[in-house]
Amino acid sequence: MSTITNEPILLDSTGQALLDEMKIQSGHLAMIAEGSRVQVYSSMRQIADLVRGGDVARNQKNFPIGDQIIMPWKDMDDANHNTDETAYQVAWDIVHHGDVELRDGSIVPGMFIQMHLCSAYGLQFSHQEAFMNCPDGLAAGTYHVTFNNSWGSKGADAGTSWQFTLTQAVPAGGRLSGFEGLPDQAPSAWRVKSWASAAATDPIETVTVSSGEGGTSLGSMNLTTASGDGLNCMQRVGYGSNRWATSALRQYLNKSGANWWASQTDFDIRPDQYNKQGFMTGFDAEFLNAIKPIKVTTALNTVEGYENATEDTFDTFFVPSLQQMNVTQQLANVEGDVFEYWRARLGKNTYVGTGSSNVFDAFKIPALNANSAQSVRLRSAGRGNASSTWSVLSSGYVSTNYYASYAIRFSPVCVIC
Amino acid sequence: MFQYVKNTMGIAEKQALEVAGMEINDQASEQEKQTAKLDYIAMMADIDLSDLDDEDEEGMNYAE
Repeated sequence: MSTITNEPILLDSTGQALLDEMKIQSGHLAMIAEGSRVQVYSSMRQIADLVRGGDVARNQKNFPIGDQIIMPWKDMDDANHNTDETAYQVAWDIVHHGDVELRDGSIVPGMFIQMHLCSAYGLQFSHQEAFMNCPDGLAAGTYHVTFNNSWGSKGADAGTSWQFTLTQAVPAGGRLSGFEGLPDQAPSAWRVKSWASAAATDPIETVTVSSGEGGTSLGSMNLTTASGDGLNCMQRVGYGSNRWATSALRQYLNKSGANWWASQTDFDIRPDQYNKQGFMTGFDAEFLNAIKPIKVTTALNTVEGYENATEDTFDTFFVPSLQQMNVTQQLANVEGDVFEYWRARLGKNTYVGTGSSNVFDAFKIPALNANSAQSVRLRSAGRGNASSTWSVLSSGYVSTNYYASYAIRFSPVCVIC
Repeated sequence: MFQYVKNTMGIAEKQALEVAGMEINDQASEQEKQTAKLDYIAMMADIDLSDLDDEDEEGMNYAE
């Protein structure tokens, strides 16, 4: 007489565990068959299967720091590099192994890879932001704004007011930007631009600015915080925002195709490189299927009054932090584990310092299309202001010289997991 | 086209070249380099260096 049981033949979790082990065994069998670890990996899918089926310790042995994966990337905006035949053959350094958090909260082993060279062109971290959002539009006429704080020595002084005349109305949803380069430009060079929308290709008009309180007051502007009048801060207006989560660079790196940018704040303005295709456009599906968005933590600046010291994003591609590049941090040990690759390249077992007294040839990073060292953007904010991030300079040291609005190159990271 | 390149030794060679071009003050000290190498080797071999230190102290008979 037979016995009926309600127990499943095989639990799903057991089956998944068996599958993971089979993936690893398949990889090891392939190694044995070909007799060499160097030749064994024949595809990104195979590597991804091994990483996903392993754990951090095993992955460290299978994929040592400093090994490279070469994958093509097409620059869709460059007729010389936009086909399978002419694509850049991009070397990705294996820079770190560690557990990573996915969007669903699961923790999985990840293999961090970073472009050995930097990008073929620069991109603004963020455009200079608008000083005023106009959700209801703004009539043509003369207006003025007042600075509550001083910045630089060119004329942006506390208590001064600056007037301008718009000859055309700004439609609802438009924005006013201007005062670009505020601390470093004489008032005679300041301009105000009116925009029909944040993503408009060109301003409606660009008008001059002069000292005075003519026309209607739009309010006052603080140095680092938005004012109660609804105006943006002077630093974001002058040189853009250093906040990774809302940056144009983050959007560019994590999108395919055109139209990769959308306004992230009330004051965002479309970056100058908006017409380029999103970074992910240039990769084969094989590469993109091997990587996933992971939780990326970035320290916020201390001057804008954020509630928290750090902010999390989930990114498929991101630029490294100070800590990941083995550089001393302003807020220690929050922006991701140090990449062992950079410790090895620098020949250091402790964080290196910043500034021109800490020059390292290892930090002189050439580009996909240039043999000379380039300045390369990091995602860590210069925490003492609203508008600069840290960068690895072409001269081999790390500094906050580059404001967010400067279009400089980048050496992105992604994670096979 | 996909390719996997074993490059660990490449890092060591490149590092040597890069360090040779540095100012003296920017070069890692011999002790720093030795420690970095040990850390790297230990990481690859999955060894906890602090365990080794403990073993040495307990296992060696130092002449007084």
